[in-house]
Amino acid sequence: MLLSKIGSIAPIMMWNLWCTRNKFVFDGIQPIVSTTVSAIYAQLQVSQRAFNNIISIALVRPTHEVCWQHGDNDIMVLNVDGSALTNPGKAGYGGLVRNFEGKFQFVFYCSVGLSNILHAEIHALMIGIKLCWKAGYKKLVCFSDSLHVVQLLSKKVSMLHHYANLLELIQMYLVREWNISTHHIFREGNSCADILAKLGVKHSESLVMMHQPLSCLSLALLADATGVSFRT
Amino acid sequence: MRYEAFLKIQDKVASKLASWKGRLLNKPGRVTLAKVVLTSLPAYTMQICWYPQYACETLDKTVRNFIWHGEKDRAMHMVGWNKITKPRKLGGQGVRPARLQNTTLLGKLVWSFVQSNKKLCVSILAYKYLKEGNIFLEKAKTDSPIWNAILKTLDVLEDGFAYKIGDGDTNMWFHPWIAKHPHINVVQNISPDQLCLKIKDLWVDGKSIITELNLPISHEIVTSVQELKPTIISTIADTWVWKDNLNGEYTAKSVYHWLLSRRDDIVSLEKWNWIWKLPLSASVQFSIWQVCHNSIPSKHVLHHRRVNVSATCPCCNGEDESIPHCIILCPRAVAVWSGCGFLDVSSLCANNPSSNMEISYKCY
Repeated sequence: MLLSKIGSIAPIMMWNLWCTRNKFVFDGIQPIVSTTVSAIYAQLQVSQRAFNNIISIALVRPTHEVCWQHGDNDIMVLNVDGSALTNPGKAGYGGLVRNFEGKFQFVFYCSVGLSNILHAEIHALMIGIKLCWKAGYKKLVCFSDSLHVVQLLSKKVSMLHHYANLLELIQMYLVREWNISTHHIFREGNSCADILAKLGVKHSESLVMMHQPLSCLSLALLADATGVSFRT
Repeated sequence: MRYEAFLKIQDKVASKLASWKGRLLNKPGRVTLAKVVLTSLPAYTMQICWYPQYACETLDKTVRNFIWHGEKDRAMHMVGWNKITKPRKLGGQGVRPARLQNTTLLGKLVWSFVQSNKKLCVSILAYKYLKEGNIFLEKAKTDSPIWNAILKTLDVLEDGFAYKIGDGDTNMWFHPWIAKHPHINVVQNISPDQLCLKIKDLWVDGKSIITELNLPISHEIVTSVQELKPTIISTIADTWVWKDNLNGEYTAKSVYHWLLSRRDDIVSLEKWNWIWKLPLSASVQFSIWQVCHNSIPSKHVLHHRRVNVSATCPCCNGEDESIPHCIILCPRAVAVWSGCGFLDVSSLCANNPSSNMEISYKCY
């Protein structure tokens, strides 16, 4: 509350100083410091009363407890993420597969060149699902931290969409003969994929796939496996 | 169409103005009224007619006179039209110039031709005037003002459309897919089997093989093809899309912003949104906006604009009354600032009031 109180006083002061100056120039009314100061505080109070509700509504956000999600027994978990330095700018993606206990299977990451974040997110999911199909998994659950992508996949793709081809490809994988579902997860529950996506941005445009965990992932993997949750 | 045809619209705008009590509103109120009502009055005719430049300018003039004068005959336009028409987050007021609005709205008609829409008016016009089979290839002027308007608009919007490759089942020589004109017109010596090449044949497993094919096309085309990197998929047909909107649809909003962003004076480096987020009334926000544009009518600014006044501050008769002096540094102002608890005010002002005010706003 303090910030908005002091932050809005300077503009009000300038406005009032300008008004008193005009009164002096055009009507010849001599400015009195104490009157101006009290006018400023009166106006500040008025605008605070008017805008108080709006500010407090905007500040209240629901909090969630977020941790890495795993499914039922004998299911594979795919986490993917995209990353872009600027929009539009250099973008990349990454992802990893674990089993339901958090046991590591493989990672992948790659750059998509100059593009935007949505492209990277869609590409990440597409490549992740493709690699899992090749690996022969029968039960898979996919998590992406982009709600937009998950929503796009849930309905029929408009053929005008810039990434309609990629989305259509993913949807074709989704109806194949395996048990697969896509879900949205908050960024905090997707930290491993986030690290890999940032690696992907710096990497070249050839896909990297590794079956050993990277050293930079170890802490995040441990946190996920033990079920550490974050409050957003 | 001649200018006289648009006089009716101008009369309508003028009669609306006459019935409003412009002087009862303050400036932000007039800006809002102008944005909402004045610029939307011609919206219907703008969807089918290309307004003459003079008609656009007259409309713009009416709007800006209303913003600055209200009902008076003359007043100084403190902030230029080019600045007012910028979006609010880039330091303008988001007022729409008639020319851009006209182009944007006419573009909707262009879009239905680009999409080969099944609307009745589209089929009739296409049957009569679409001689080449593709709207991007039409150049000839006709006797129809609507068709001429469509072609003029297409000329402006052409770069905004892109051909999205789906199954790649389009012939690469006869379709204007990458350069907005067919390559067949600019190349010679194509062998018959090269002539059958489709777009999808330029990629094998996602890798571009255009250089291996040794096609007689220019280097620029090769580079722009290599940059495409499409994912070819057999279930989606090739189609035209609006480039600037991720879902590919032509929306007036996205096209208007695209047209604005092509103006060279649009720089997004300066930050302006903080003004509109201040929890203050619109009139205070407006005057802060004016201060940041260095254009409230202090004596120094008036003198600079060749009004016949002296530039000295009328309160202290000492220095020139520049804007920082007027609201911060004048002894009268310093007294008020210190009365409110700001003892060191010189840090508030420097050459650029806009960035400094933002910094000081954030600090407090």
